[in-house]
Amino acid sequence: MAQDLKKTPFLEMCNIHKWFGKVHAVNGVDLTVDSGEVVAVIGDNGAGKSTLIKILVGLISKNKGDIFLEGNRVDIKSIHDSRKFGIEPLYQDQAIVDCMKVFQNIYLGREQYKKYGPFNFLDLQKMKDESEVLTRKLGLNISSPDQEIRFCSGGERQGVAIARTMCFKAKLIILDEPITALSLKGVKQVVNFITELKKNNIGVIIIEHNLGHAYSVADRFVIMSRGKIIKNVKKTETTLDELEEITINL
Amino acid sequence: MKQKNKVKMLIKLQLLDNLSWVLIVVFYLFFALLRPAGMLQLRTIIFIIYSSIPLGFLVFGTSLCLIGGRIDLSIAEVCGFVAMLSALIVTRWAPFIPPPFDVLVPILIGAGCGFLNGFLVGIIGLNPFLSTLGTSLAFDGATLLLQSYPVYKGFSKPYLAVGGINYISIIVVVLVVVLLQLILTRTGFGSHIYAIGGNAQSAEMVGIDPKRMYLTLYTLSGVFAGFSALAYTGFLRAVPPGLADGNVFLAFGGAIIGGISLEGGRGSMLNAFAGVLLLGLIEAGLSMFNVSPFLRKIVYGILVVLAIMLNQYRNIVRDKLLMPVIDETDKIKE
Repeated sequence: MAQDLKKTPFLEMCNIHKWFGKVHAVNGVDLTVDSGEVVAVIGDNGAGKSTLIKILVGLISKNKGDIFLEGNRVDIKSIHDSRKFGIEPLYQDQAIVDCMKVFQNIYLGREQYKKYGPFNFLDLQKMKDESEVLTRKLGLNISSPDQEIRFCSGGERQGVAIARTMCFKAKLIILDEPITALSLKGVKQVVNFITELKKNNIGVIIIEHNLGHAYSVADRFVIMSRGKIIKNVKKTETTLDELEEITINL
Repeated sequence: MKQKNKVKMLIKLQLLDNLSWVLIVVFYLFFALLRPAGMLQLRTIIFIIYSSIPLGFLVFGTSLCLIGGRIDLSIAEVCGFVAMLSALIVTRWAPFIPPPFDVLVPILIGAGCGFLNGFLVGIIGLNPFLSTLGTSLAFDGATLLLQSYPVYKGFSKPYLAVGGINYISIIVVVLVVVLLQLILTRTGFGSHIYAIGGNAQSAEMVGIDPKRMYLTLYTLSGVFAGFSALAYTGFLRAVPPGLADGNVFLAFGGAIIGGISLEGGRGSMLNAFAGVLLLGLIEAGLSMFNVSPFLRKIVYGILVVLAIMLNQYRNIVRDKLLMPVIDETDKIKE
């Protein structure tokens, strides 16, 4: 029994279908992610990877298929639902508001409150303190949680977005092209963040169209083309050359 | 030494962030030097604040929309329409509404007009500039259709008190400014206004619904148009058909002078209030020198242009002060 429980993946997407008019954007996809596992979903534009993820986080609804979290069937209808289940998306542009401060960005949409009589006001001090702890934990060199985020580097912005997900005890984090357009130092920072997430037993899905970016950090590779998964392989069972060969021939 | 520099920087930042208050002091001293007999009297100061209040409410509505990244061109015409419709309701069509509850009439009608704008911009997704331009024309026409001559009798005392008794007017506006500032800086709703103004797409990704936010913002803008209608009615003790006509430009002027960003996501209601007071101060100063109303308009126009230039310069200086030392090799996406 204990063996069975251990085998249950954190996320299981079964036979997912999505049509946009006549276009079969996602065609019977099965995807699993274990806790602490980093899965890279690779594919060209239009391969269906973004649609699949949008279904997972509740931004669009699926036409067919089931989603199981820790073995239980769930119905994810909105981003609030997915967050309730511990799924945290991290978008390509990091969903960051430039003119706001670091701590405001970390808590955006889920601010912490303090009661003053019958009123609930923002608990600014608590948010600042916790943001400082988190950014330090991630090794971010941000001078103060009061710093406006537009002064942060690309890697730091990605770090802030990751801090946001860690702050809310995420169990599965989805990174949409987290490395694209970052400097070498930024890439190194993001790789460190992902390693940190793994250490904390958090599952990670990386959406990438560039295999090279994902290869260094992923444990498993799922290659998609025209709405279908054409390869699902562990890193230990393949090589970069073999994966490149597949992606080139898509 | 380092501590000293930090204190110096913080002082500079405070001065920059509250530039409109600094300008008020500068202009006041300027006028006071030229006309000490008039300007240095307490009643002059009270009158400047009091006479700025009707426009002030329009500035609050305009500022809220601007911080949220949207524009409301109809606010002045909504104010005129609300003032006329409410005047007709409380004096002729439904004089049985007991005072002081009749003061709620313009607020509620204003909220309704704002809701309409919010529905067009937020829910249907129309271009805010064009749709509020359209509704502004419609409200202007509707005002004249209701009555093309003034309403000047039959108002209850409480109805006229909000704009007609200076200390009540000042207390109301101070309470509104404090409340707005509190909402913007200390509540989740306020934080979300800045977020949608700064980057609506990002805000949506973290679960903030911009549509609902826009609907609320325009409704609030309508509520302030209602407050303004009440204040103008009390101030003038009548509702002329052209009430607040063209004041949208002054409302924008006040907001911009107060440091509200036209790009959204930035600004403080306290400073917007300072923008209104500065306009009032300049109006009073120019009146003391018998400057013609036409020339005053030119001065306002120049002032708004100067304010935009000043805001841009202020942002550059502010960025320089706030910019941390960043390793250039790591600096952000190309």
